[in-house]
Formats: sequence, structure tokens, C-alpha cells
Amino acid sequence: MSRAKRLLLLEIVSPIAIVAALWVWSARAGSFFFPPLSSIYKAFNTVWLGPGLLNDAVPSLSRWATAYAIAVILGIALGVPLGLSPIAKRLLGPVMEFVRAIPPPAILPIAVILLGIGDAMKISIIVLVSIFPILISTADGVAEVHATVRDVAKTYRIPFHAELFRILLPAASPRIFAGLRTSCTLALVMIVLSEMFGSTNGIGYRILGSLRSFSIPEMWSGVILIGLLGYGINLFFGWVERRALSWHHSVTVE
Amino acid sequence: MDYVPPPTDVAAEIGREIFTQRWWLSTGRTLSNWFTAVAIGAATAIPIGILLGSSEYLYRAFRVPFEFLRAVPPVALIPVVVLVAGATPSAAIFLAAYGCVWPLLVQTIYGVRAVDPLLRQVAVAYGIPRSGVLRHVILPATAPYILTGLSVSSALALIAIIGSEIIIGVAGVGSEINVARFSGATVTAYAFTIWTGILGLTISSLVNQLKAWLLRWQPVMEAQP
Repeated sequence: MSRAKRLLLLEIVSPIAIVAALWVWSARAGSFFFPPLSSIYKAFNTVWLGPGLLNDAVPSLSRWATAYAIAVILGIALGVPLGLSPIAKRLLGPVMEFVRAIPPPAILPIAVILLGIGDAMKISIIVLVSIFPILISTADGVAEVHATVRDVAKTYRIPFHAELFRILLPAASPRIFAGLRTSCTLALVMIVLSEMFGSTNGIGYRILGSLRSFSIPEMWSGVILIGLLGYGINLFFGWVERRALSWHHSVTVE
Repeated sequence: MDYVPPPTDVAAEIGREIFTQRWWLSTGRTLSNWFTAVAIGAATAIPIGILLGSSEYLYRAFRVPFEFLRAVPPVALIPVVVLVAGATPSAAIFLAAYGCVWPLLVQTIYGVRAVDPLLRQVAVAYGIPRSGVLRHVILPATAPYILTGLSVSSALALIAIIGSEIIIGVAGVGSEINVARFSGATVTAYAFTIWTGILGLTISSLVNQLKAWLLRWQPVMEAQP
């Protein structure tokens, strides 16, 4: 067997072995905190493939999608002028730096004071937190477009919308994608946090609720669901980047 | 509107609060939990990273499990730590250390894998023992990567510490925001929130200075991932 094949085999076998070992250990340990994997699996099926899907998972995911869509559109739309105009950057830079430095969970109490615990609060706080990676990477990406390229566009009298969609955004796209990836994960974190802080439904609400009623396998199933969502985001962006940005050499950098 | 106090009020409140004991007590708690978490995270991630970076077999064996664990945001583990540790500093420290480990681990692995093989071969050819290779070749070459990971991790750790203070009520600046909110002292809640931003900025600039100082031997800052 060649070295490459052995490595691939190892990569496939070891996660299975780890899960199997956990399965056996948790079945025997009889620990209250770490219930057997089989019961977590059962809880996952009854909760997240049952009533929890419509009552909690769907509201979470729809808030997440709405907020992320707003953050993407606003982030790119505001990032372009910020990257093109040094004055805008000078004006807004310090304020942005400061807002970004506030740890996102610290904004939660004030968001609740201002907006209550409804969807408006969650969506605004997710947008506020997850817009920055997109905004900053778009601004950096646009600012890095070579001056010569922009001069050529000007010389040929290429209209601005064509310059924007044919030159600036494609040139900035590897950076924008990196920002999109970071913000997608951040949005996931914020949706869970905001649902734990104040909510009437959602994945985070459900996890905290299961803890309070000491339904430990149910709680673990929620933790695993979030892990799967996070892992899914990574896989998805990895796939999109490989497809959409295969022309760009720096894509291999994580 | 009562809910949005004028910035001058918030500034005045910060000016008043900054002389109180609870202000500095909560700040001290938050920062000491933060520091412990980063230290534990670094002490775990760097040795494991060096090990995984040096062995292709180990790297491949743990890649998928680590990718999965890395994707679990620390906030998802909040209920687990509440269950095991309650609203204690160790709960906050565990969450923050967990969040801290992954960027450091990934950066260390990248760094070790990017060490020029020629450097290693020269060291081996001169009969330098393994510990010497680690100390004089691998660690210095990996340092820029590790420090990049450290700056990401230290920000994440602060987020996790403040997050656990707010969600589970571990004592610190975050819990003061909540206390102020529940007692209707909106201006104080704003003051503490602004303070967390100042702490965040201070920490990131300190880490950047540490990075510049530790890497002062580098003639030019190398391009980093």
C-alpha cells in the first residue's frame, strides 16, 4: 500500500475509531453529565427530526439566513466606497475599530434594552456583529486593486457600474469570500448566544431549556447540532471557494 | 429617549465609576480569567501543534476530529460547563481556553509544516540533538505563525469570557452590565459596555506590541497567512 493510500485510510479510520471509543466509554461510564452516545443519538432523532425542527431549528435558521443576507448586502455595499475613498476610511475607521473591539456578547444587554427579545433584536445584533468581517475585507480587497488597472479603466472610459462588477468586485472576491466565511460562523455564534440570552424559541433557547429541565441527552443533541452546522459552513465555503475562485492562486491559504 | 442616554452622560458615568471598587474588581476578575484561559490555551495548543505539524501520520489521524471540534463554537458548550462547573470562574476559563486552542493549534501546525526542510537537514547534519532543533530551528521559524494565532485567540478568549459572564453570570465586567440592566441603571450598563470595548482595544494593542517585540529579530515581517 502506498504512503498516500495509508494516509487516506488513517484519515477515514481514525474519526470512526474515536466515535466508537466514545460510544463504548459513554455506555459504560454511566455518568450523568456525559450520557451514552446512543441516548444522545436517540434524543437527536426525537428532538431535531421531530417537533424541535419546526419549533426551534427553523426559526433559528430563518433568523440566521435573514440577518446574514442583510449583513452580506450591506457589508459589500458599504465596503466598496470605504475601500475607494481614503477620506471615508479616515472618517469611519476609528469608530468602526472601536465598535468591533466590543466583545459581541457585551452588546446583548443593551440590544435587549433597546429592542426587546424579539426577532428584531436578534437580527440587528447579528447584522451588527457579522457585518464587520465582510465590510473590512471588501474595503481592503477594493483598496488593493492596482492603480494601473483603475487608470486603464478610466482611460477606456469604462462606466462605473461595469468597473465595479467587472473589475473591482472580481479582483476583491478572494478577500470578500474570506470575510463571508468568518461572518457566517460569527452569525451562527450570535444566533445561539442571543437565543440563550433572551428568546421564546430557537436552538440556543432549546439547549438552555433542556439544561434547566435536566434533559441532558437532549442538551447534548443541541450542542452536536450546532457543531454540525458549524462544520457544514466550513465545508460549504471550502467547496464554493474551490469552485468559484479556482482561478486565484492565493485560495489555498485557509 | 431613556434607552439611549447622551454620550456625555455615559462619559460622566465612566468618570464616576472608574473610582469605584466594583469597577476595578470586576475588571480584575475578567482580565485574570482571560489571562489564565489564554495561558492554558497556549500551553495546550503549541505542543500539540508542534507534534501534529511534525508528523504527517498524526496530522492526518486527527484532522477530521479536530476540524469538527473547531467548528463547535464555544457558546454551544455553555450548558455543558454550567452543568459540570456551575457559574464559576473555571467555567468561563474552560470555555475561553477551548475557543483559544483552535486558532493557535492551526497556526502552529501551519508554521511547523512551513519550516524550510533545508534548515532541518542542516541541523541534523551538524548532529544537533532534537531538543536543540526544536529550540533553535523550529520554534523561531514557527514563532510568527504562533503569534498570529495568539492575536486571534486572545480576542476570541475575551469574547468567550465576557459571553459566559453575561449568559451564565460568572462575576466580571459582563455580569456588571447585566446587574446594571436589571436594576434599571441604563447609563451604567452603557458605561460598562463601552468599557469592554476599551478592554478589547487595549488587549489587542498589547498583543500586537508583544508580537512586534518578540519578532524584533526578523529583518522584515514575513508575509503571513
